[in-house]
Amino acid sequence: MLQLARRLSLGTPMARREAFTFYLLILPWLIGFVAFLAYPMLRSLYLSFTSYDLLSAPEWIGLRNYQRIFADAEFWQSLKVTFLYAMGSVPGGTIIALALAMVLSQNLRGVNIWRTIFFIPSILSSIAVAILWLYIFRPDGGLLNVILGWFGVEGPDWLLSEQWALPALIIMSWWSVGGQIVIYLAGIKGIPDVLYEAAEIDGANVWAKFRFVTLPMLSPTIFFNVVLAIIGALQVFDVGWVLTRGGPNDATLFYMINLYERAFEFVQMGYASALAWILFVIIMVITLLVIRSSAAWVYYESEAR
Amino acid sequence: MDGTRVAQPVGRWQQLRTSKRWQRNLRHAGSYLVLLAGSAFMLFPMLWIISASFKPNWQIFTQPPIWIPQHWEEVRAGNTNRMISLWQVMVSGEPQKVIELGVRRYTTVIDASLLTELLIAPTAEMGEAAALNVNGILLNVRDWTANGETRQVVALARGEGDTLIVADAQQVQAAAMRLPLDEVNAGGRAEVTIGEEVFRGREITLDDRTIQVIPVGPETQLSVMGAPQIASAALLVPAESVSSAGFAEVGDTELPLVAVEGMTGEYITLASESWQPVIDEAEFDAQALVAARALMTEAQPLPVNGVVMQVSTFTPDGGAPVEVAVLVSGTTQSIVIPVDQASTLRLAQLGGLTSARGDQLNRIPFRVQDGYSEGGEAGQTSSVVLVGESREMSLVAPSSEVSEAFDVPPEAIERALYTQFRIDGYREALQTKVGETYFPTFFVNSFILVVLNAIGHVLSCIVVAYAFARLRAPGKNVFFVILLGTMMLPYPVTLVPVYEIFRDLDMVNTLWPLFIRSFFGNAFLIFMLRQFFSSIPRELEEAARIDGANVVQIILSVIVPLSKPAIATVIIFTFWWTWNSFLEPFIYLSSPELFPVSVGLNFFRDQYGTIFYDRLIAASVLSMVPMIVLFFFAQRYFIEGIQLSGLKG
Repeated sequence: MLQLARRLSLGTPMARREAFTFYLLILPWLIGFVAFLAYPMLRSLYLSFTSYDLLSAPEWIGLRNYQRIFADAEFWQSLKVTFLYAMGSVPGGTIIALALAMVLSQNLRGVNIWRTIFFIPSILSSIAVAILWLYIFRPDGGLLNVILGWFGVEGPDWLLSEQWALPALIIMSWWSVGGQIVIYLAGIKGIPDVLYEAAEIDGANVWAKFRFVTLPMLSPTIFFNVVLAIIGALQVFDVGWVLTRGGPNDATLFYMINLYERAFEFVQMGYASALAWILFVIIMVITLLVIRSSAAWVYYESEAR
Repeated sequence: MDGTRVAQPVGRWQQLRTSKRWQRNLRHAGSYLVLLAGSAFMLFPMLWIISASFKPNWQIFTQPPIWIPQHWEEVRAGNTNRMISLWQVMVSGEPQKVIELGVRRYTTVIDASLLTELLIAPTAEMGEAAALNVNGILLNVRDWTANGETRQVVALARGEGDTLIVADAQQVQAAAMRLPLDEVNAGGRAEVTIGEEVFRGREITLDDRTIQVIPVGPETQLSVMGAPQIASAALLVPAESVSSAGFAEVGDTELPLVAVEGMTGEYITLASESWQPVIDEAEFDAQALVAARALMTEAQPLPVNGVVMQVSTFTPDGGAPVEVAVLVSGTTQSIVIPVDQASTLRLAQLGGLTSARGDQLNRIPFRVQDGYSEGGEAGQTSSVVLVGESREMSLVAPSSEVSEAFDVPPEAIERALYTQFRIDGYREALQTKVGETYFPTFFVNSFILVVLNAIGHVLSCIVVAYAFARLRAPGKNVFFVILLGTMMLPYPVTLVPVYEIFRDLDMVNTLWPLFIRSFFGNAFLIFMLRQFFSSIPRELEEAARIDGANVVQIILSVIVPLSKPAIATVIIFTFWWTWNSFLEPFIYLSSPELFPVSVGLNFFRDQYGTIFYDRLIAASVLSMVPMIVLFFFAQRYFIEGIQLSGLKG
């Protein structure tokens, strides 16, 4: 009865009261959205066309910030470093997470214990984790080179070496894939058994079941997490800052480290805002590209039906 | 499928079954292998850092690694608080514990009278030098290839032009001997002639005959070891009272002996280092007083509680004169302590006082060492004030005690260790001054932020989520899409203007920017709560609505009690994000007393990362503890929240 009454009374005082209540309730979020998101975004777009040191008023300089950025070797270096990092950490992390989740999904003993072991590193603060790995990557007496030594490999200088600092940070990022493992595990568990049974009847082996059932059914989840991981990797700051400060010789100069230094060390807020907007556009473009390409490799159940 | 199997002959069927089982076992073994490899990667660093946090500093990066925390066995040196490390050395097949008495440097010389033939070799024809050790005698032997013939030679000196004066290695070996470097250097300089060449050599007396020798290096260094009992006879004496008494044979080796002013007998020096008089801060606070220098007599060096201090007589206005020791002298006033009150005045090794902080009393500055621990297993730590001047002291032991000293090559000794989980790293981490504050402050700040953010998120997200879950209004879908969109928005694009906003609000370097925004909701948490609220049957609200309850009452009386797990997840995620956030507090805060754990840890690292590995590692382990504890209590919420965050698309 009440449902019916409500449906009939759209535009009635009751509906208007409900709408009013709705807006009243979302008001905190709405204020927050305008004050801390919408306005700052527009403001930073405006600032990106100005020279601004926080003390005197922003001075309009047109596209000069962008011109300077594109002529700045540091910008290109940071872009290169950040992309290399994303290209190493995202696929590597995804493969590791998928492999472990696949194995965990096989009804083995102690799934919860394994899952806990894999998950814990991912909840720790990046600073504590960075300090942990700082010592693991130590060239002399660090855990990694000690283990490499057992196999007769003389480990590199890792964080102190221009060539190995970025790979070191990538390896470190694989340590925190626990969240993805949990997500993929839940995704795999959500795949109906019927599909596997059907595949078995068709004579599918383990690999075929993975290739033709698990992977397609999981592809939307993988897709979503890969997008999130790329966005996250392009904005990485903490580990690079704590471990290498962007060094040695800018070998780990992440985009955000460059941005932070411009904004809060050199107080070039206009320049930094332009950097932020370039990153924003890059992330949007990549996200769109991935979404556009997803049709080719992401399987949505609704399409097949 | 079963039908065909049954139709097959029994033998084939069994074969198939065994092969299937074998396959499955193989697959399981493979799975466990992958899991083990994965968990080794995940666990090994964790276990290593936890183990390292219980180790003393020197033990963290040893080669080969010491996996389980060990403690270095030590003996106390006489009546001082100086601890001397014990080493382990094999003596006729038995491990024996010893202390190091010093090092002995040896050099290889050749007896000039035994060397007859010299050769001139162009440098170009010489190979690389390789150290050859025969019976403890070290020689730098090179290959000399001339006319297709290779012979081994030892270079003695540079010749004219690009040549070397060399001698046959065999002949040199016959003439060579190993002598203590001190002994060789003690001999007079001499010009030694062999054939036509003149060398700079030494003339030394050996077994009552004088010989001319040429040093041909390389030098070797041996450790002189002695029984631990020597340490208990050790005495601490001022360095200036020690004078050399020459070399003497002691046990199986030779050691430089010293004489000590005012004491009979000969001594050996175990260590010479700077010592600093210190006094417990508690006693300093309770007993020390500020005295005008005008009211004090000329100070004299006198022993106070065994430590020589500047002592003078202080006559306070209208008071009786007291004998005081000057702890810290200022320009017009000094900090002094009555001599009979200074019961904790003692000497401390200056090396153990590296992280002293400054303090002041009546604007007279002095330095305080927090967490100062004196050797020994049950080492008590205290805050001590550095008083008076540091001084050079020598730790000496009577040579009569050193009868069993002997030399060993450094590689033959190893540390005498026993397993001990040492918590000093933790204690010192908590007591080390970082900036103007201590590590526990960072924990308090983080907890304050966690609580404020959790309150903010719970209050705001519940009402917003309820509106999105239940109420209908024009434009609702648009707002919901915007809400979802903001979840993926890159944060850097708002970083600068938001900083500007908080600067304009005068909130930079306060905790405000780090929690106030949570009162305006969080997209992910709102989305999560909305999903949860949508699953609550509407009928449950009807009764309340009929009773005339308003929205707030419905939320409080119906929704909240049913949503405890979801609200717990909101709190847990807030805890997680707040505890681990770094960039924002790093940008907004500049006073260490406001730092949360993440920034504090980074600050700690900047200050002490290359000195106190043990403290930094202990501090980072401590910073992980709350998250790990939270995880074990709320594992389910973590896992479910994470799944929700990633299972879309």
